Amino acid sequence: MPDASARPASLDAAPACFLFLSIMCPPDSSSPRLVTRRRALQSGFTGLLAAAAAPTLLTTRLWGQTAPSNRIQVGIIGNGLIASSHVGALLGRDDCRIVALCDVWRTAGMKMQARVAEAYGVAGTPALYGTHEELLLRADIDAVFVCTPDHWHAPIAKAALLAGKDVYCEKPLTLTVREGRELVETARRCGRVLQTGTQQRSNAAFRKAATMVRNGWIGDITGIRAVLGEFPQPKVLDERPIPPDLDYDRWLGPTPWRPYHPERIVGNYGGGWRVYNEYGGRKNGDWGAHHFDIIQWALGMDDSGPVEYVPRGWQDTPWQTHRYANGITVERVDRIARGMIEFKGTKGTIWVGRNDVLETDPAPFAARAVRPEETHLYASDDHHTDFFQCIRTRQRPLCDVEVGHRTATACHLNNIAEWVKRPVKWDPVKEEIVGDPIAARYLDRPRRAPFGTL
Amino acid sequence: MTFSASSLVFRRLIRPVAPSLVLALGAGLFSPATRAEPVTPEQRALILAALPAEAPAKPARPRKLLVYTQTKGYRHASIETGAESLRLMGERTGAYTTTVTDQPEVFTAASLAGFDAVLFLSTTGEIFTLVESKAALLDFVRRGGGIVGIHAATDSCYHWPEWGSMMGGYFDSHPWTWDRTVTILNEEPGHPFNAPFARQPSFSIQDEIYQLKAPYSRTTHRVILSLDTRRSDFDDPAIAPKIKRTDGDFAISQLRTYEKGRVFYCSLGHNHAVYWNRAILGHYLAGIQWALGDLAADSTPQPKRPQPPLAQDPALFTAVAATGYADHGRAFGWLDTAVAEAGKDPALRDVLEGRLLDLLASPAATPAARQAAAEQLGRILPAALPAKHRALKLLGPWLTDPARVNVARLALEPVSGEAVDELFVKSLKGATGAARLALVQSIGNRRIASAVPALKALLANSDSALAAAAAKALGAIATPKAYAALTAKDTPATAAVWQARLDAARQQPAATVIALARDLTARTDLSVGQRNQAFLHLLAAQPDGGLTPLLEVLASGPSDLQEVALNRLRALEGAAVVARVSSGLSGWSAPVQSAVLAELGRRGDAGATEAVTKALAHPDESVRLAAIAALGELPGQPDSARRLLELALRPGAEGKAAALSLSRLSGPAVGTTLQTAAETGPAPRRAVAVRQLALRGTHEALPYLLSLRQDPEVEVRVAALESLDSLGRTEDQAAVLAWARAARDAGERNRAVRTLIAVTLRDPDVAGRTRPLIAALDDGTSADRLLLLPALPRVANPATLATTLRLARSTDAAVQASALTTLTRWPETEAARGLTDLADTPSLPADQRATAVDAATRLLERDPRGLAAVRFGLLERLLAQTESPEVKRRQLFLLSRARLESFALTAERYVSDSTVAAAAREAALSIRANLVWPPDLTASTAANQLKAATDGNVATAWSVPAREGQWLKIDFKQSRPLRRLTLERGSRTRDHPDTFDIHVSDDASNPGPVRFSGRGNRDSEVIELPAGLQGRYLMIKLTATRADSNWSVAEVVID
Repeated sequence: MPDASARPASLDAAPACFLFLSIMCPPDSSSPRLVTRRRALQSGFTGLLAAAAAPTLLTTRLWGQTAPSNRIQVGIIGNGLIASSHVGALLGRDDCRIVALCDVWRTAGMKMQARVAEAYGVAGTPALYGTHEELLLRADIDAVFVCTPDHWHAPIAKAALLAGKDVYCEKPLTLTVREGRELVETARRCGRVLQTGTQQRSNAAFRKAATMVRNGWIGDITGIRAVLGEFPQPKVLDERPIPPDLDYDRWLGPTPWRPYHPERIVGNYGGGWRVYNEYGGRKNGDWGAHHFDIIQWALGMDDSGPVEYVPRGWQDTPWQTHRYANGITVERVDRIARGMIEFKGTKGTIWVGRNDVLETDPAPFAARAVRPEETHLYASDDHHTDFFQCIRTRQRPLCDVEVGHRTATACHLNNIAEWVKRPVKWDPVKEEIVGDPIAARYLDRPRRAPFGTL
Repeated sequence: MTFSASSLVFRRLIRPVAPSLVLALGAGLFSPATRAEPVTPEQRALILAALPAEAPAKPARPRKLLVYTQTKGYRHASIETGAESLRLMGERTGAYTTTVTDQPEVFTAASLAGFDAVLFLSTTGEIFTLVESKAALLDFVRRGGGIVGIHAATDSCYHWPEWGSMMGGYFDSHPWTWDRTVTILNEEPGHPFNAPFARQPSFSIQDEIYQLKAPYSRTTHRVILSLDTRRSDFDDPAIAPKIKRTDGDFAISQLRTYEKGRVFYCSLGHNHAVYWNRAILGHYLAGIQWALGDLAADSTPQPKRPQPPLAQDPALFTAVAATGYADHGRAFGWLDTAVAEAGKDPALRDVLEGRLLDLLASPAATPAARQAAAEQLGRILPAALPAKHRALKLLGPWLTDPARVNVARLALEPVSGEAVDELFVKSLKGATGAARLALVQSIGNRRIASAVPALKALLANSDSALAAAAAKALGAIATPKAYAALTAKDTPATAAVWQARLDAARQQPAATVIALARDLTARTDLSVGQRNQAFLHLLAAQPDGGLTPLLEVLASGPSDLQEVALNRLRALEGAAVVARVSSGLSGWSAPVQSAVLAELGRRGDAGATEAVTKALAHPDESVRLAAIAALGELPGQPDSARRLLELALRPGAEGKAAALSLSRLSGPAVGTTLQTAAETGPAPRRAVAVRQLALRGTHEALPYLLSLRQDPEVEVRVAALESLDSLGRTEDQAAVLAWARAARDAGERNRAVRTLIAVTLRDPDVAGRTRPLIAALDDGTSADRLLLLPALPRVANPATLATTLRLARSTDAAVQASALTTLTRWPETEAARGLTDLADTPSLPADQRATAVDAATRLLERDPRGLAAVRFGLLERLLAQTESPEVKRRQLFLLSRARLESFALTAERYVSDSTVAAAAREAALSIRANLVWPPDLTASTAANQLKAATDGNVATAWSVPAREGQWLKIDFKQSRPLRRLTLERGSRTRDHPDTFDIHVSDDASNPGPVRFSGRGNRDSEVIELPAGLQGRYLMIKLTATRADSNWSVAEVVID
């Protein structure tokens, strides 16, 4: 190896970079040969780049293909309800392979392990780890799916990014506003891809709705309403013995200590841990992450956000409301005529929801083609496919980390306004709460040691 | 008639206990029994112990209190307790003597003259029936008498407005049931009636709390006690829906003068225990003495004032301090409210801070309460606390205690400022174990530069977690000293230290970053992740963002660096970037080119056009596809339009990609280029251009597309029809229909019909939109009919069905066959009727009748509830016409859901046919068993919900946790065939069982052996049972648990 110290120290970095590179790339490293793969995708760009058939050195990994089989190797962290849904989809794909699982609850991990083994055969049984740190040490894992409750999203995603993994992180991206900005910074300085699990954006109906709004088909927006539903209040829970196969301390992670009770930790779309502010953002987090996200997209606000958040009942405000700088308001209501989100404009109305519900007034808008000179939004029809594709192209995916952070910010600020029982003003450029130091304390939370840092 | 007090008492004593009138109210099951019960010795003792020793006022003369207890509605069991308590209280204090009666005859002027006040003790209903009685009472009070109402007194005399006006409102449900504990605000600590509450701002009590409605008003009454809306479970889903008042005003005690008289009402008094509650008794006593005229008190109405801040109520903190984790969500929620109230009020914040610190310091507080207090302090302690601040004195020692360090951190870590910083650093010195680790983490979070030396010393600690934490903290602090500590020669170069160096590198000068990268290259044991970070730092340290080395890596670098280089490319802006990337592109590997092309497309900068166009010819398909996609996103030129047009002619992925890209290509001359291409040139190319008109939403081209009906090229005509499929409007339906009828080419005809259907479906008028079609079928030629019939199922409605049925009897054999085929594909079960008629038509050929039978049977099978009872009549007729035993068996199976004896007889007729005997027998048995529908259900739990499973309504369900062992047993009331069990779930698609066993028997007490084992899944509700299974009792039992789910049965259906 050349003696690097013999070179004159120079602030001209270009030669230093070449030196760096010349050392990093031994002269006999093989350049990747070209193998193409045909897969027609909606966007018209198959672009799944495959590695050469030659054995790859672990240090010269070709994006997302550590295995000679050219599949993206995936680890699943957190094996509850939503992981079950992801695993079901991933097992049906031939461009990825689940090679590792992590869970603080051994029983849940083993159940998932058995399920994957049933699909792949015994030889394909994924490894099961009790801590995410161990899983992230695996050099042969390309990407991880973070499917834990919200309070673990940011710490695990950050660790994964630093470890050189691409990340699919469930929504809402974070538990606090500050976590989101930290994740953006980390993803950028690690050069990694992070997809937020707001899969509604990978759906033609929602995309069309957002496109119509962006292109002014319904004129100026006069009001937006969304239905998030309601969770029950957190229940009074007594203390129960901790199951022997559950690492409860780690399940709690950075959250304040509470005695164990199965209903505190159970995953349940209608309750469970989701009803507790310690672990999630309740409905503002759970469903706001989806609907506020679509609204941000439609309004072109993915690098910014609403500036005022008014809690329900404040001076007779009937609904929780957040307001953008241009005056557009979003109300969280009990019901709307159709779908889950309603965009009302000076020239029409759009109703959109899951299961491809899309209705417009005037009616023909929903099926009308978008013209070339109009704005076209990022087209993806499968959120996993988009993630895997971006792993190959290194592009920012549809729900890039910044997008997920900005959406989650809106969710959290609505909650903060509810907790402090007064409107909260937000500066989306400085990312600070304006004129309310106590409310500003809620932008982050102290973390319980030994999980005391992000 | 006159009544003396003593004779009334005598009459009460000898009166037999009358059966009480009980109205079943919702709380009846759980509230104290509603039969009149005498006061027990234990209760009496409790009362005696609670009685006030003295009255607040000396009576001006011997006072007589009438306690009235008549109930015409619900009778509170506590009335007897209350009456006894009031009587004893008067005796003990000498404030009054008591007469208790429930006889309305007492309400005459003469008898009322013997009393100073009348107390209505939970009377209910219209207790005053006589005009004279009402007049007597009103007169009594107007002239200076007193009235006291307790609890259900407002649930009385709804039809006597003066009553409501005296009491101050009527009962409007009690959202808080007797078992609720609520908090009541002492609105006036100084009021004589509130003296027993010792100036406390609030008290809590368990009692049934009333909501009042008009004529309740603070303009007529002085309210002195009311419900604290912040501490009375207003959010509880059992309570929230019942709350009707929107002004948050829930009065408990109120008083008014009424001409010369006085009226006092207190809504407490449902539970027995209220009558041995010393403070409440004292409250009643004061109110009674005022009503009697002995105690002076102000009754001037006053408007409602805001509820006093929670922070000022010691009771809040007492409650919190006693609260354990099991109560979390209740008293701790009140702390949230207190913090919210203190929000922008510095004085209140100070008070709250003081009380929270008191709580923290109190040895009697529960650990949960202390943690809750700490969490809140973390929100309200102001920045820049002075070193001598009480919080720091109190929490300092906790920072070195492993059991309390996290609680202290909750309070202090969010509080910025030097004093807190110094406290953390100081504590670190003496700390060990878990506390030390926690402190290191806090120091890193707070970026405390003065801790660098202490952290450095920990870098070589034998506890690797601690060493790693120290490294991480130094990485966060990132001062030059911190960085120096991380890179010192004696610092062990662990992975954590390397990561910390990388973390800190962001804040170091460029030369330092470069040196770091150089050092890192000497390591081969670090992760790819860390090497990539180093490379990116290197780029970031360059003045221009490192474009040159980035491009160098793209050209020849190792692939893992190419990964991050591509990711970083996005962050470099400007035309120069596009220019240099474009010029280098063709020299790079295929994977790199594909990725870069995606980025160039995203940027949409015309400067990339040449390079992208060149990539269209790359030998690698993935590069070509990337270039095709990118070209569509760049500013459109006629040249790019033409190239994409050519590419769109290719088969496979490239052709599809090019068509998509072309549809997005936007630019000044693109539209005209495509229009020209549509008009002239080879047919395939024209066709692509014509299809683009629809893809590009070119509505203006509609007349042109319609004109292409005359075009000589069939491929172009078909393409025009494809475009009309999406662009055509309802008003174009006639033109498309004409086109379809006139077209000579078969492919064109078929395409035209498809377009016709698409345009028809666009019309929201479901009935009217098929008129042109039907007209064409009626008036048209056979050719027209053969053309249009196959499309009718897509526009199924009564009119098109009728037309098709008509044509199924056409004399034209081809048309008849086509109509019949169309009917076999009809989407609506309604067609089964007409098909059955056809099956019955002797003049039809046998094979066509068989087709009709088959189609009708399939429709009925596909829609098990369609056509309701009519279906069984149809099945009867179909059976008579069916030759095939297999079809007959299916029809018999369908018939077995009938519920009339006549159908059982029909089924029995087929028993003599050996090919279907078994099915016929089973059908007859099933039908007869259906006569006693619905079955009786029992289950392992939630028995009260079982009705929902047989009520014919899929929206209601029996729903239990899906745990192993749960079972549902169905008693069909007689033995019957069990061939298929459907457990409908309605919208609860996820509430299916995992594995289950099914037991069948004829013995109620013995479920019998397992006859079937299965496993539920999300998509299925149907369980096919083994052939020949028959029985009266069917039990389905879960053999596995689905931890996060319920098992729901909305409706049981048996075949």
